[in-house]
Amino acid sequence: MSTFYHPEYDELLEFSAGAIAPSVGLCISVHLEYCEQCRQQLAKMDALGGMMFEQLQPEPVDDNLLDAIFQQIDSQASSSAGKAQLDTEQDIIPHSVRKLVGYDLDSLKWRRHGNKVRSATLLSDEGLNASLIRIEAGAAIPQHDHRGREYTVVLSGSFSDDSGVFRRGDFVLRHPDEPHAPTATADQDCLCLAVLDAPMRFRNPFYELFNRLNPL
Amino acid sequence: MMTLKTKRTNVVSLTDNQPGADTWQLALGRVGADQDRQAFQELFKHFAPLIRSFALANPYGSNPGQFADDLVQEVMIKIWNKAGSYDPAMAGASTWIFTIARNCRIDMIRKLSRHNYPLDSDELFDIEDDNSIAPFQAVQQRNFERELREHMKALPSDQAQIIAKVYMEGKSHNEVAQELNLPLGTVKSRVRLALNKLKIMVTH
Repeated sequence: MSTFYHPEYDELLEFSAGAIAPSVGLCISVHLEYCEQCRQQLAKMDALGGMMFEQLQPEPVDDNLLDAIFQQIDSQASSSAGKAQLDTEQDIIPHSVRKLVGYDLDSLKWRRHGNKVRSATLLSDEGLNASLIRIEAGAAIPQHDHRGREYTVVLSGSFSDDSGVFRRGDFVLRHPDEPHAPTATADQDCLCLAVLDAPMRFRNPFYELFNRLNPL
Repeated sequence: MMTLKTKRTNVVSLTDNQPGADTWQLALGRVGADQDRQAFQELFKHFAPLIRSFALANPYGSNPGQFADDLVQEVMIKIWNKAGSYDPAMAGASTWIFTIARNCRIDMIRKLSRHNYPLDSDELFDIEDDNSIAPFQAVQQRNFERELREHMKALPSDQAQIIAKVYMEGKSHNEVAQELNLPLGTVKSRVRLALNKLKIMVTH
């Protein structure tokens, strides 16, 4: 499957180098599950990492370390065979997100934001916050912008805003002060993984209260 | 193609299946298939000093030497356990080992800094896809790795320095910019120039 909206090169490079904040890394990891093109790109970047690695100045290693490693190999359970994969058909939850939430979305702590929008926090790190956001079919999140960046990956359904229509696997980055009002398409609910590095703020003064009561 | 008359031609099945496979790919194959300790020892001799160097490029805590030894141990054991899933068509041996070292270093730093993070790097980086790589893609990837080695030699030092910091020290563009006292835009544009020269950028 191919998607239309991808991470930037520098983000993918930081991902490949392991130099990216885990929450953003999670968004990229999810996007990669859907995007063959970026997977190929990543393979090339990993090869670059491999080549840098190969050219490092070797640091002498104590031979005793090898003995310690063989000892550990001997003592580890022989049952280190590949883990069984629990795959269900048509599972909409990506592999990496599944590791965090399991299969049961309903078991998460969902917070309501009005009638048709809900969110559940998955993890927080380094000032970043990753959550799932569910928008009911046809519903919109009121127009808002962000003090920080917002990364979104669509997991199911699709949404649109001024700049386009975003479908499953699409990776969207919004910079601060880019107001937008994402609306789920009418045919089905839209589920997104969203990473924010600062809370969103709503444009309409009416929502100021909403803002304070329910930071997304 | 003529048979290669190297001392490893006795490992016939692997060489035949993987033309262009190098010594380390073969060694990984022997560890994966037969738990071959001799091959593992050769891998250790070659790669452990590189892993140690990788650890020391971005050590955590007050005892870098210990950190480096721990990383070597952890990575080598992963190599032993996962060699069976190594596919030489997907990546060179150095690339594969680099990705293991990268993941282990991230996780070790997180553990040491008591950063409570529920997802380990293997889970983040093991991208679950249909897992089949078309044969022509495998050939492309191998050609790419060969050409990359050539392009690297021509990389201007200011670009190479930044790429090395990002990869070996695990620093974000932002951190590199601060450390080198350069505007973030300069760092990013050097990275882009480098990716262009290395033929890593493809048009989306």
